[in-house]
Formats: sequence, C-alpha cells, structure tokens
Amino acid sequence: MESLRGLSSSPASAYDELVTGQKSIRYHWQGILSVIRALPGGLGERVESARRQLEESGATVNLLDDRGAPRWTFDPLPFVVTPDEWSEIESGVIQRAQLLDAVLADVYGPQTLLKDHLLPPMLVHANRHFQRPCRVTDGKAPTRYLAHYAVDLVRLSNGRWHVLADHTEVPSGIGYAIEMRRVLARSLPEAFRSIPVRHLRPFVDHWHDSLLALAPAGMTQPTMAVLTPGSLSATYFEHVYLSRVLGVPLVEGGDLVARDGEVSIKTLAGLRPVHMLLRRLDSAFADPLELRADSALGVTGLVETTRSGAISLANALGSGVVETPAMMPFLERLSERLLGQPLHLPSLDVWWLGEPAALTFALANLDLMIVRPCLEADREPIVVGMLEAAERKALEARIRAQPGHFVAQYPVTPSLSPKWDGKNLAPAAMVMRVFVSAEGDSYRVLPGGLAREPMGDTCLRSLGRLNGTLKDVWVLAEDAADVQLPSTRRFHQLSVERGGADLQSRVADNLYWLGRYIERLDNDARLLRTTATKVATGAVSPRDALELRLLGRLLSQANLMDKATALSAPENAAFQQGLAAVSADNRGLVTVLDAIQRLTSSMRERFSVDMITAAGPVMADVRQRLTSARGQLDPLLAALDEIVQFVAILSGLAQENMTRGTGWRFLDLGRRLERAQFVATGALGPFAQSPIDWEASMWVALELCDSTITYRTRYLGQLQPAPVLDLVILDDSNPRSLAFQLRAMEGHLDYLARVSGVRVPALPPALDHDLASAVKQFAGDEQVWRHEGLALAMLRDLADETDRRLDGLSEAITRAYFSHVPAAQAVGSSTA
Amino acid sequence: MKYLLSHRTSYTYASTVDSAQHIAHLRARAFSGQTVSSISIETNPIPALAVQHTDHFGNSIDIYRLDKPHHRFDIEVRAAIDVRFPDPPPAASTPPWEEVRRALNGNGFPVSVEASEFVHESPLVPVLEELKAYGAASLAPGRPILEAARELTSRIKKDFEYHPGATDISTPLAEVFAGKAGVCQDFAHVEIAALRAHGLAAAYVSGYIRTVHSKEEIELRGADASHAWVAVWCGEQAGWVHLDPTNDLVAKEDHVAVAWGRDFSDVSPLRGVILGGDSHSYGVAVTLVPTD
Repeated sequence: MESLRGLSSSPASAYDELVTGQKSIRYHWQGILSVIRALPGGLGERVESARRQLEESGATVNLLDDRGAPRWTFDPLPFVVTPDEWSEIESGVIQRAQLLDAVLADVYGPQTLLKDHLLPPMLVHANRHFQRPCRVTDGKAPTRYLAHYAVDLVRLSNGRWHVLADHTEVPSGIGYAIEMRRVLARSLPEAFRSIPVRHLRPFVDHWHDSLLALAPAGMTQPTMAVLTPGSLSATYFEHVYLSRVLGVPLVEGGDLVARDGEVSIKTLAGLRPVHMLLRRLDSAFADPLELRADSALGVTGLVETTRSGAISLANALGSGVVETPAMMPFLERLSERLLGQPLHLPSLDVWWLGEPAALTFALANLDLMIVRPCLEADREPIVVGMLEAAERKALEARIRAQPGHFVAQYPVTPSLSPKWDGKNLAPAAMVMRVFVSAEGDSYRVLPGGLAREPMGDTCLRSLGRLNGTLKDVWVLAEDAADVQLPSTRRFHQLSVERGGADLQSRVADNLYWLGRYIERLDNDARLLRTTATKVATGAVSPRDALELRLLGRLLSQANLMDKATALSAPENAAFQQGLAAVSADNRGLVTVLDAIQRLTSSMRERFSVDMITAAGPVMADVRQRLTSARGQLDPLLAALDEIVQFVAILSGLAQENMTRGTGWRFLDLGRRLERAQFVATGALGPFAQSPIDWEASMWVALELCDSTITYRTRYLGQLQPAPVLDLVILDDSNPRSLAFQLRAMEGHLDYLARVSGVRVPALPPALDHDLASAVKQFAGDEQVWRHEGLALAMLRDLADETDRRLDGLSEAITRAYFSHVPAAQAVGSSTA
Repeated sequence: MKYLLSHRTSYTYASTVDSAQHIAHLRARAFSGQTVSSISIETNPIPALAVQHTDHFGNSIDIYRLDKPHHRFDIEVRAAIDVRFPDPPPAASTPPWEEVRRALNGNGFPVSVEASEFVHESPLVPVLEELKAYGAASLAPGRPILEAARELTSRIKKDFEYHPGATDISTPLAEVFAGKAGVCQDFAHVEIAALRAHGLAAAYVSGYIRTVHSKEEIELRGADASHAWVAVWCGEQAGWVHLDPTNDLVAKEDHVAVAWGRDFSDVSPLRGVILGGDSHSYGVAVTLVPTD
C-alpha cells in the first residue's frame, strides 16, 4: 500500500482536502483510498494502462498533439467532492453564469450598468474583448450570450471555494474532462463499482440538445457545427473531439459562407445551412467585414447574419468581455442589481486599480501583491516581491500612468489534494474547473470537471491553457442507486452515416491533392531510384548509357534535375552529382514532401494515429537523409528506398483503415489520376523520343511501372513492344497500368455522382479503343512498325491526348466538387 | 447653411468578382450641429441584401451583399443637409483642461460615459510618448481646454505639410508624426493622440468640407473627397467642439459630418471583402453644393 508520505509537511495555511485537523482521513476519500489499497498490482500498473489508452492508436482522435507528446500529464487519482459540497458549488456556478450572461446582455445592449455606476465604463471601452459591431442597437439580440461557461475554482484555507478565473470567450477543457473519465473508467473499473460517482453522460446527452435549442426559433431541423480556427490552434484536438462527442461537423471559417440570409457549409452536394455554431474561434477573428479585417479565419458577413437572427453562436460574439479579473470586485453589486440576490460563490479578493482607493491600497502593499494587466491580451501575473528594484520601479510607473489597466491581489494558497507522484500519494496544490451549459432559462452543471495542479509560483499563470497535471473530478452521488457504471465509450449519439455528401469541399480538395502528391512522391522516387541504381553499379555500358539518357530526360521534365545536367552524358561525374543533389530546395522531391506535410498536418483528425505516427518520423528522416546525401549515391538510394516503402505503408494504411467514403474516394482519385498521368508521360515518354532506343524504352517503361517481374514471369525476359505495351497500357489487372487507373477513376466518379448528385464524366471509352488499336499495331510485322514509324506516331499522339484529357478531368473535378473560392481581399476607401 | 451632397464611389475590378460584401458609413447623421432633410443611397449592381443599422456610436451603417458575378460596383449617396454647428463658448470661459480630465476619469465612474470612451487608445491611435510631449506644449497648467485645443489645432496645421500620397491608411501614426506630412485623417489622428495622451476625450469625425472655387475666397483643402477632423470634449457644459486641424478651423457651416468614432477604422466610409477580382481601382467623386 502506498504511504501518505509528506502529508504532514503541507503548509499550515493551506486547506487539506484529504486529512482533517484531527489528522483523520476525510470520509469521502476513504472509498477511493481503499480501492487503491486493494489493487493487486498497485496503482502504478493502472497508471500505465491509462497512459497507454490515452496514447492509444485507432481511428478516433485522442487529445494528444501531432508528435504524440501530451502537453499535460495525467494523474490517475481523482479529486473527490461530496454531494453537499457539490450542490453548493453547483448553485454558485449557475448563479454566476446567469449573472455574467445578464452583464453581457447589458454591455451589448442598453449599457445601463455603465450609466448607473455599477460597472466602470473603462472595463468595457478599453477591453480588447469588447466588439463594438456586436452591440445590439436595432438587430436581434442573442437569446443567450453565455451558452456555456467554464470557471476555475480554488479552495482557500478557510475551506470556502472562491472563483479564480472566468472563461467566457471560448471556454475549453470539457473535452479533456470527458476523455479523462472514459480512461479512468477503463483503467480503474473497480472504483466505479464500489463508489457512487455521478455520471457525466446525462450532461453530455443534454448538451447537444440544449445547444440546438438556442438555434434561431422557427427552424424545423436546426443544424449545428463546431467552428475551429484550424489545425494550428493549440486546442485543435479538443475541437475535433467535441465535434465527435456532439456528432456534428467540424468546420473552419473557409468552409462557411454567408449568403441568402443564412450561413451554410460548403459541401460536395452544395450549400448546407447551419444554425448554431459552437464557436472555438476568437470573436475578433470571426468576420473580416465587421471585426478584424486582417482575419483569414472568419466568415465574411457572420456578424450581420447573427444580427438578422439567422444563426446563433455559442458563445455569442464578444462574450469574452466579462472574463477580465477587473470585473470581480463589481460582481457583488451587479448580482444585487441584476438578480436581486447576494453572490453565492465569492471571487478572490481583487482590487481594480482604476479606483483611487484601491490604487492607494495596492501601492502601499505592493511588495506583498501580485499585479496583472486586466484589459490586454496578456494577463500574466507579476509577482511584485520577486522583482528587482529597477523592475519594481518601472512597474509602479506603469501602474501610475494607467492604473485602470491593472488589478492587484494577494498570492493564493490553494488547497492540497492527494496526487500520485509515480510511487506514492503526495499532497499537491489543486484548482478545479467546472463546466456549465445553458438549459432553458437556467444552466446545467457538468457533475464532474477537471482538477489541475497549477504550474509555477502562482496559480494565476496561463489561466486559459490546460498545461500541467490534470485529473478527473468525482462528484459523489447522494443515493448509490442513481449511479450507473460510466460508459467506456468515448462517443455517443452518432447518427448512422456512410461518409456521404456532407464532406466539406475544402477537405475533399485537400484529400484529392494529398493523393496526387503521395503518388507524385512515389513516381519521383522510382524514377530517381531506377537512375541511381544504374549509375551506382559503376562502369556505364553503352546500353546503360542509352537508358540513362532516356531517364535523364524524364528527370529534367519532373524538375528533379536541372536540364543541362540531366541531358549531359551519363558517364560523366556531373550527371552523377546532379543526381545526388535532388535534395536542393527548389527540386521537385522537396516541394512534394513539403506539400504532403502541409496537407497531412491540416487534416490530422482524418487519419488514424497509425498513419500519423508512420508519416511524421519517416518524413523527418527522409528529409535528413536527402540533405546528407548531397553528392553521394548510396545514402540517396537508401533515402529513396525509404520513400518508396513509406508510400507503400501509407497506401496500405489508407487501403485497410479508411472507410470507403467520399474522403477515401477523393484520396484515391488523386492517386489514380496522378499515376495515369505518370504512365502516359513518364513511362511512355521514351517511346515518344527516338525509335532507335527500342530496347531501352521498353525497359524504362517496365521499370517505372514496377512491372519488370510480371513481364519476366509472363514472357520469360524477351522484350517486345506489343507485350510490354499491353502490360503497361491495356492490362487492367496490372495495378500500375493505364487501364487500371482509368477503371478505378470511373468507379470513383460513379460513386461521387451517386452520393453528391454532381456528375463528372470519366474519360471517353473511345480512348480505350484507340489505345488498344495503337498497341495492336505493334503486334504485326516488325518491319512495318520498326521502320515506318506510323505505329509510334499513333502511340505518341495518344499519350499526349491522354495527358491532356487527364488535365481536363482534374479541372472538371475541381470545378464540380471543391470550394472554387478565389482569395478574399479587402477593399476600402481613404480620405483626403 | 443648406447643402446638396452627392458622393459617388466606383470600384472597377480587373477580373470577375464572384461575390462581395461592403459596409458603408455614408449616411450623414443628424445631431445638434446639423439636420438631414433627405438622404438616399443607390448601388449598382443591385445587391442581394441591403440593410441599414445604427452602430455603437449612433452612426448609420449600410451593409450590402452582392452574390452575382460583377466587374464593377458603384455606390452613390445623395443628401440634403442643413448645417449649423452651435457657436462654441468663448475659449477662455471653458474649464481648465485638468478639470475636464478629472470628469472623464471620475475615479472609475466618469461624469459622461459617452465621452469617456474616447479617452482610450484605439486601433489606429496608440499611446505614443512623442505625441504626449507634442500635446503637452499646449496644455499649460490651468489652461482652459478649448484654448489649449485650438492652439494645438493651429500648431498641427503649421507643423505638418498637407501632402496627398505621403501616407496611406496603413501608415502608422508614429511614422506620420516623424514625417510631419500627410492628409486630413493623419492630422486628425495626430490631434486625437496628443489629447488622449493627457486623459482628454477626442473623437474622429468623418465628413465633407465645402469646397470654394471663387478667387475671392480662400481655397479650403480636402476638396472633392471625404474629409476628417476632430471633436474635443470640453466638459459637460460645452460638450463636443469640432476642430479641423487640416484647415485650422472651428466647424461652423463649412463642415458636413457623416459619422464619428474613435478613429478612421470605426467610420471608414466604405470597406468590403470581395472574392475574386484580382486587382481593383476605385474612384471617388464628391460634390457639395451650397443651396442657400
């Protein structure tokens, strides 16, 4: 059993969550402690299992970043709250949500609180979260400003909970709370069997419906989406997670368009109206027309659409204005005025220095205090006692110059809660985040939450972020009969859906191009490998030289070697060096790798962890090898082998792990089209060059189509044009032949036409027929095709035509399915 | 003074614009200094959506949404306006500027909530030490606020060169100040910054100025385009007084106000987001004809 080492060393002033003044374990902790004591392998083993689950692979996303490294650590020991205590917290938090919602309604409405001296006007006017265009003068006011809300609580030494921080702009963390519970339910099931822990599920079930209930009235079937700033956001994974928990699409600003009086998602099947956005994008960036003009993340016209009442946002635009800690000293009076009640849940003592009395007091006690800017984006605390004399003086000058921009408070001593330190239980400082969601006229509180050991010297640092050690919050139930075992399933309430036409056009576009780039990478690597292998064998025979000349031409076409070098005599050192220099920045291979990296990282949520973990390190490794291979063939060959294997792994994973929905169709469509083009221009390219290199051309075609072995098995090695061309062009059982690609594209285009209702015609059957007749020419009398050049000309023309038609097809796909949106630009007048 | 106003803006695009949204601060507002007897806006092409609202500052805004492909966009406002700014009180009779500052601060709860909003920095008017020093030269202790503000207005006219093309809307204020040249909106921003740095309230006013072409009269700058100046809050009693640093004038009958805000970014006459179009050019034509 773990000892409770260190509990006696806790600072005398901090409230101890576990042990009473009489040194006995508080009753509500005894359940979990006895479960831990009884674990056969100890808690350590369970911690491992929980960690594994958090990092588990699979088709669903987890809350880890792309390098697989968590930004936070997980403490398996939950924080336990009694029913009585929770109901007090609950009513306090609900009251606070109602209060902040009412303050927002006034601030964005009549602003009587400012005129009546209940709220200093500066806290609104100089607040960077105050969005003037959202002030309702004649449009429709949101039903709720605060559709959901997160609040950080801390228990002080007197045993009372106080509000440390309010999160109203984009309250985050609820995804972490749900995930934490799921993992704990799986790794510590016996605890949930013996302890009556309140379940999160009913809240989550209601959340979807209560958000939708805030959609504009009169919609028969309102729809919802999660609006994210995109994959570069630090909390992107929570956005993905929430979209899955709620079973609604995840969209970026670019996926949405405001027209015909509503906001719609651009999908393959056209515009799909959306009526409620769970907003994870900062208000300032939400509309380049009326908010920040330099935002590329928003939806032009969104503000006007909210004004006209066609869409609701959770939270409403501009709701961050009440987040400022400077609001806290005024909440007591605001509560009396707006709710007619005293505040149930006190805030920490905070002094807003815009009031002369507060300023005098703070300056007199400055060395004992923590100062925070309260109106700017950066609200990091300054611990005055830690400053050098000169810094302190500068701070004092800053405060005196703009006192209204600062708050001051005393350091906080959070309560101590047991934490698993890897071997034992040890006390650690703890703050707790609680989540609420609007429901009807009131709010509903998630019976649980996220406890956190704050980082650094004060628990006021990085309040918005969820770094550090996170743990689950267990609210004990009054009556054990109410409690069912928590679900270990992560998602629920998903409607049955088969990857249909709802796919966002932007995502389809990205997948299509990812497919093309992956295939291009493969083609480039094969071309280079074929060439490098020939060169690396040492002495170049006249036959080799012929083949290398053909390859050199292709390398130059593919921008893998510069033209002069590629066309130089392959026996020379210049050719070999040029070959080894493919890693130069402007060369095709590197640009293709860049494109793949960009596309995969922007669509991380669409791939399994396996695909991402396979792709990430290999990409870095390949780059490294390419760079170090400068001038040397052996490391280049090794890097090329790695690329070819990497593409094979990706193909395997895509083939086996991606459902055959529209997403996969676009990925594969891109690959097929690129490969078809490679066969038409790359593999058949040498035939178009000069009829004297017959043998070499045939060999190159087979090699680039990875069909040499098949050919050998079928025809025992003798190279003849008709069988070679049949294998690389007509044989639709050969996955590298042109015909195979054409058939596969037909299948995809058919499927897409069925689900989206938009048809893009495949290449005409006449082309197949022409290709067959061209190949047939070579089956006749050798004298004829060898010397008259007629068959060759026919083949050349057909290869060109195929290439042109494939370009046309790609354009048609782009026009039909992808958000064919030109770049937005701002226009405006100036004055003289 | 009664005026007939026509203000026409045309965007011409190098290639097709698929869709566009524009927001306009073009409808002259009514206030104690002017009455607007008629006003109308016409656009071509006809937008899919055209709505009118009142913004946070009480200005009229129009929002247009164009959903059909187009190559140009024309918007013209016509109005009949009667301007009669009340005479400001004698400058010497206005309160000392420190008293006005105290009222605006009000220990957190200012006397005039509306005026106090114009004390803080804004997107195009940051707090700058050099502008604080520039303003200080006119703000001697105990000096009546309007006297100080009038002197500041004169100094700007004297110290800065009116030079269209020297700046554009993206030129930061510090650069304008260092270069001592610019156009009306730059001078307005300079004056606003110099006053706000001392805790005083200054608003940016966009509008027009009467252009006089007869030889006998002095030619006023800002002709044939939009104009901008400053409104300074001179205490509860005197209220806002409109000062034009480009021409060193107190607004009386020659200035037609359209909208006011913290700086240009709050009241830009017309701005929009277009999809497509490649490059664009625009032309503005303003005629302001006195009808008295």
